[in-house]
This record gives sequence, C-alpha cells and structure tokens, in this order.
Amino acid sequence: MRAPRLARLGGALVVLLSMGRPALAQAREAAVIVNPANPNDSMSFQELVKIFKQEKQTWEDGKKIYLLVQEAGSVERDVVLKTIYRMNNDGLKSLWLGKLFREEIAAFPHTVASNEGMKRFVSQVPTAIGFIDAAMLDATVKALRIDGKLPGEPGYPLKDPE
Amino acid sequence: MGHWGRTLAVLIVLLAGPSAGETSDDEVAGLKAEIQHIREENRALQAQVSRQEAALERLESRLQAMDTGAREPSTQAVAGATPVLSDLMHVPSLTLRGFADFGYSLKLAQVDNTNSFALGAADLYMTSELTDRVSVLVEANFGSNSENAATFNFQRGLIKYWLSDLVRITAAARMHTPLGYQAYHHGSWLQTTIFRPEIYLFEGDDGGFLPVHSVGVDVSGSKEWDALDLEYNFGIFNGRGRTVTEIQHLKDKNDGKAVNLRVGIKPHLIEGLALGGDIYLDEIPGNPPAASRRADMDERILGGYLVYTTDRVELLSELFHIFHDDKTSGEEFSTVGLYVQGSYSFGRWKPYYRFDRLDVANGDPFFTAPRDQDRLKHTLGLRWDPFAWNAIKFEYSFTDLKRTPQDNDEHALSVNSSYAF
Repeated sequence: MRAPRLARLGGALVVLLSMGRPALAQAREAAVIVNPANPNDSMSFQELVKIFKQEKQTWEDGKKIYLLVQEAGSVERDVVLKTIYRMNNDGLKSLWLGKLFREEIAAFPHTVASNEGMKRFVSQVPTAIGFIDAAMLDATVKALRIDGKLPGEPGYPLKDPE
Repeated sequence: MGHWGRTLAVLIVLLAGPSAGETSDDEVAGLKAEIQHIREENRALQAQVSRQEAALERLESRLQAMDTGAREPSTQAVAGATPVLSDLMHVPSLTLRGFADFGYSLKLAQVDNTNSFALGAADLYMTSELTDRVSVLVEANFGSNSENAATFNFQRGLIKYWLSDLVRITAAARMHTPLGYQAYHHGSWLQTTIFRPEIYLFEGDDGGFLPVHSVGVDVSGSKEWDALDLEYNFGIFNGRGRTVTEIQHLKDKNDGKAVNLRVGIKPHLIEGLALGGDIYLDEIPGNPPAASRRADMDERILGGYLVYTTDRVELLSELFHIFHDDKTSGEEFSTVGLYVQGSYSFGRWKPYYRFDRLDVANGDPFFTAPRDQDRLKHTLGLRWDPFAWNAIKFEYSFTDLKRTPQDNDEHALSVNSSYAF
C-alpha cells in the first residue's frame, strides 16, 4: 500500500518541480544577442570578454558598440558574471567605476530590467549587444555563436558552471 | 491557467490520497509540511511574475513615450523611416561621482609629525556623453594642505573623441599624464593601499617627482593581434613649469613642448600579464630668481612596468629614471624611483605589501628640499571592503630616510576609510 502512495507523491512532486522551475533550469545558459542587421554571426569567447569589459568598444565597421546588461538579481546576469566577468556584483561595480575614472569608458553600460526589455532594445538598436535567457530567443534578435557554439550545444561557454 | 491549474490539481491529488486509516501521523505531518512548502513556493512565483509584469509595463511605457517623442518633431522625415531608440540614446546627461576618505595616522619615532586625524581629499568628477563618440570629464578635488588650509584644485578637465579602438583623442585643459601602468589616480578607494607609491606622489604638497598632471593633447588606442594586445599613448603637453609644483594651465613659460610616448602590451599567453614602457621629453624653463636655475633644463624620463593582475592577485612593479641636463651648471642629474607591490584577495579581505625606493640625484636644482632625500619604505597592510563602495585599510609603514647622517627612521600606523559615492 505504501509504494503506490509514495509513487503518487513522488510523481506529484516531479510535476510540481517541472512546473515551477523550467525557467530557472533553462536560464542557466545565457544567449549573447545582437540586432539582426549586425553582420557578425559569431565571435570568440576572448573577444566577447573584451567587449563586455569594454576593452573593445567599436565593431569592425567602426561603429560604437552599445553594451547592455541586465539589472542585478537576474539569473542571466549571474551566469554572465560567473563566466565572462568572473566576479560578483560588487566587483563589477568597482570595475566600471575604475574604468570611468581612468577615462577608459565614458559612462556605465545601460541596464535593462528583463529579457523582454533586452530583446526590445537590441532589436531596435543596430549596434547593441546584450544577453538574455537562452530559452527566450526569438526572431527579433540574433544569437551569436561563441567559439562556434550556440546555446544548447555542447561546450557552449555561457553556462552556469554550477 | 495552466500553471496554477496544474498546481491545484496536484494539491487535490495529494489531499485526496488514501484514507486516514492507512496513514500514520508522521506521514500526515510530512504531507502538510510539503503542502505548506508548495504554497510558499507558489506565492514566491506569483510575486516574481508580478514583478516581471510590472517591469515589462514600465519598459513598454518608456518605449512608447520615446517613440512618440521621436515622431513629433520629425514631420520632414523621409516617409517610411521609423525612429528607433538609437536616435535618442545620446542626449547629454551629467553623471556626478565622487571619492573621499578619512583616516588616522600614528607616527612612531618621528620628531616632526604628530599623531593626527586626517581628512583626506574629497574628489568629485562629472562625466557626460555628448554623442556616442564624444565624452567629457571634469574633476575637482577638495582637501587641506600641510598648514591645515582648505584647498580646492581643478584636477582634470578634458574632452575625449572616441574615433575607434585604435585612435582616441583626448584634448584636455588638464589630464593625468599617461606615464607607467596608471594604477594610481585620485581617490584612494581605487587603489589597494592608503598611500600612493613615493615615485607617484603628486607634484604639489605631497612632494612628488613625476609630472603627474599635464595640459595638452593625448592620442591613445589599442590594437589586437592573435598573440597580444598593444596599447599606446602619444601626447604633447605644456610640460613642467619653473618649479616641480607648477602646472602650466594657461601659459607655457617656454616654447618647448613636452612629448610623451607610452607603449604597453598584454600577451595572450599569460592572462593578466602586462608590460610596457614610456619616454617623456621636456625642456623645463629656467627660474631666474634662483641662482642655480637661471637657464633651461632638459628632462628625460624613462619608465617601465611589469604587472600581473587577476581577480585575486595583484602584482605591480614600476621603475622610473628621471634625467635632468642642467644648462646652468652643465651637469646631468639622475634620479631613480621604483616600487613593487603585491596583494592577494580573500573575499572582502586583501593583505598587501609594497616596497618603495627613491634615489634622488645629489644637488639636482630642480628637486630641492624636501624632495632631496633618498628613502626606502616598506608598507604592510590589510584592506577590508565591508561593501562595494567602502574600503577600510590598516597599514604599517617603515621609512628609512637618508636626508641627514643621523637615523631618521619613521614608523607609522594608519587606518583609513575610503569610499565612493
């Protein structure tokens, strides 16, 4: 008698977990997105790090790169912090402030509050680059291959190491 | 409906399980706890969805307002040209930031200094993007001099043209001369230690040696290759004034301009490694009231740096060799300054050590007292960042001053709180 009951309970929990956590599970991969008009389809992880640290600030055609980041607290930002910046939120604040003071950047990167906001912005700004939950990709933006890999492919580097 | 409907269905399944006769008290308690947990999780999810919906509404409102604002004045726009956010991104706005610090220094075995609370400098800097390629920065510094008089200094005022990664032009009323690795600026919060290296002390009250501030034009940039990144600065400035402390803001006292070239590389083979060097040439105007400074003096500064930095490790080493060819006496003077600094981060704690050495040329008429003293300095400290914008540093330093034959060792204990706002 106990086994069927436990099985039902286990099944119910599996259903619950699959309902409540799909976004979190998939958000462990962050997709790097650009405007569909951007001629770049891929870049190396090293180049991505330089762009996100604003060591590289112009595209190959000379246009200024418009970097967008998500506000603190998002799962995607945590993935980017761990994989690209390799620091926590406090460290990132210090990084931007130091760069601003050393004249390496003119302003802090702009922040958006959500994946939808990020997609909306990038889809309208040809020189923008940002990141979203890989599960939220659609045709309004273009996901870049990083080191030849797209989100979901083995070896994709913007994956939460946890 | 799907999510909450399924949740409700599962709860019903759970609650409508076998009869009480088949269930022990422990199992009932466990189920109740599980239900409670699920309810709490559902509440959290509802709150998260509400927050996201609110954020989305805010963004859509902003977007709608921006689109409307863009369309109104564009009655002469080409038909079919849809205004986009990029048209509106670079409306100039002023960003104001600042640094300040406060500390206490306990001087041991030193006759000409007392134990003191010390108000550090309060540094305000304003930045603004005029376009996506042009930005301005203005920095002002409030502090006190050694006579306790309040001081106000215009530290930096510059406009920067970001032509590309390879070419950025900085035209400045006043800027930090691109010498060395450039780890040190105003704002002690930015640096690991409380005090700057001896060779990097500011020209004014601090008694420094290098021309830390300059007025002129600097071109800088960077270039990537497969094996390394290269960065450079090339600048032309008014150069030094008649004394070390004089910065020539408005009028150069001679026609000779200072020229500075700095080149640095970052090999990809070792991430975090950077090395480079610079050469700075100037003709320092004579200072006739001083008999030993009647004629001009040629200055040549050679510098080099080797650093290795990661998210935890900071190893800095820099050396500067300052040559003065004095046309009054016909002699050449040579001053050497260097420092080596290391630190390692354990989360919010960062212990550090620095060694400073200064060998000042004997009789150099430009580096007069109190700069005419050789010194060795050891600094041992601990930096603690209780939160992102505040650093509290504890520091012990031992300085071996060699200005007179007698022993002039200095021991000092300092504590300092620096913050950014």
